[in-house]
Amino acid sequence: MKKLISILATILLAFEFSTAQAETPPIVLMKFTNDTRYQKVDVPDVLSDLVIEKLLSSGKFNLVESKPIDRSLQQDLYDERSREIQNAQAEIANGNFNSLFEGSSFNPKLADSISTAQVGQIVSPEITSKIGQDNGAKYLIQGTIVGMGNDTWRDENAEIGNTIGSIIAAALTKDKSLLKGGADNVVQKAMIVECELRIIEASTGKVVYFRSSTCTAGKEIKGKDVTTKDAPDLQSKEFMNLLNFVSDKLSKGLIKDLDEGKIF
Amino acid sequence: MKFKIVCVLVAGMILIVSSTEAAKVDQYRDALANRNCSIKYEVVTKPVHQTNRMMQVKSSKFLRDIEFEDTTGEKSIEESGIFILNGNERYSELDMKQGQNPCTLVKGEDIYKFYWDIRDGQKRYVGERNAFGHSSSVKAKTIADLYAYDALKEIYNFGSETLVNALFPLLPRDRVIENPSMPKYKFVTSGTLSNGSSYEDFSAQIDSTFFAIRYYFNGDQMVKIATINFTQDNDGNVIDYSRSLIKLEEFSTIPDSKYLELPEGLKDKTKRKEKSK
Repeated sequence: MKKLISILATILLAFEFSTAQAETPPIVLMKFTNDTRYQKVDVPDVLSDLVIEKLLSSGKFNLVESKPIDRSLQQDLYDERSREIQNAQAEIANGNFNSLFEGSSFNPKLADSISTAQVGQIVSPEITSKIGQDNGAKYLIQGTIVGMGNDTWRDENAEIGNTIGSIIAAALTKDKSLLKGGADNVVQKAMIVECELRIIEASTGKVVYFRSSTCTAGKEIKGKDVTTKDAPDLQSKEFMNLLNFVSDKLSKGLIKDLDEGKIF
Repeated sequence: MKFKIVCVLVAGMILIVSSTEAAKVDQYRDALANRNCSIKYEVVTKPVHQTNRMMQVKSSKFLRDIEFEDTTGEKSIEESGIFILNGNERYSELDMKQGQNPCTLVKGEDIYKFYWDIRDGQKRYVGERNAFGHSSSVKAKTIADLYAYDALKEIYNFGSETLVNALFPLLPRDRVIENPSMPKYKFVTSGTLSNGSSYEDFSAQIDSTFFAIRYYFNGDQMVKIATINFTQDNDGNVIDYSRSLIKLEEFSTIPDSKYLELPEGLKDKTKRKEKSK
């Protein structure tokens, strides 16, 4: 009897799991695009792989492909707009700019580009529906790297400490050695990556979800006399950690919003 | 007799052609030439591949607005702006969707640069950054204080690059820094759209790059400006393009005087030389 109950429980659990999988619409992850000037850095591939790995591990998404789709929606959209302008050449030559200015290029309901697409705007349905059909997906997840960089700065606490607290203390106690006191200066060097995720309904091209994440990673050193020249070096290991951090933040945010019914 | 008929016909045709010239833009052209206007605008459709990104990094104690190198390799543009002209007074303010957004107030010879941001949900105006955050005072510079090119930019200033590009056919030629790469716009045509609004089109060509601007009107009121430019290769294929759509909240010939004084909370700490007696 106990064995029968156990078997029945296992069957029920498996059924529930498979039902949960089937409820999530079929979806693909497009390879991240890089909107930054750092085009030679191979961040899109790394980020795309990290994000899809985390989404697959969650078991929450019905990802029809286990690898990111290597196709640039951004470039496809740009090319489509170029063709529209091309097709308007004959009218432009006759001084008629209506197809230019009243066409899809200036339609506020249509997204300029992936990186400026707002929720509710449409990204070319011709392009997105083709990708959806080719891959059996109803939704596309598109990531965009919108910012990357690093900076070094110095918090000048020692001078403030010396000027205010230490001088007063030294004057009151007549102890000149206190003038060398005050908090340490801090020099920090940090890397930063900012990414966005959009979910697009393949058949309509409509942006149904948007999420942005900014992550930093860095090192600091402290000391009375430290300057920005003493800033610690940041290695590729730190940068990989930062990418992992970003992908983690994006994925967890996506999963949380899915669980809360904010996406579908 | 036939000659007289021909002359009348030709004169009539000339009149007809003249009446189809751009007419609605004229009041705006005059306002800019006379330096009396208020322009409040929003950039609706940003040019491709341009985004505004301002990184913010929080250090242990100080909130920092860290401006990294231009993340797209192209210039950032504003989301919206204000531009006021009143003779030799000028005010411009941009919303770059970042921590500190630039403002410029010109009163005669004095040029004040400051910023605005949002603190505790309120808009506030601040001076330059210092060790404690931002100053609550500003010091004016004069044209004489600036390097030559910066001085020219201040003298011939009609707002941000986005606004200047959109208004270029209407700007007074003697107040624009001319160079060969600037398009020489000509009026093309005007018309009415199915929704009742009217338009006036201008275009220019430099080598293989074509420029076009459409000004939209509701009645006589300019409400929108669309700009586009594209470059073609030798086979006529479009190889690059850029466009923008600006929505005008206001474009009037009356300068909004409330912007022509330093904002409340900002003190003028300019040291001025005393006049000799």
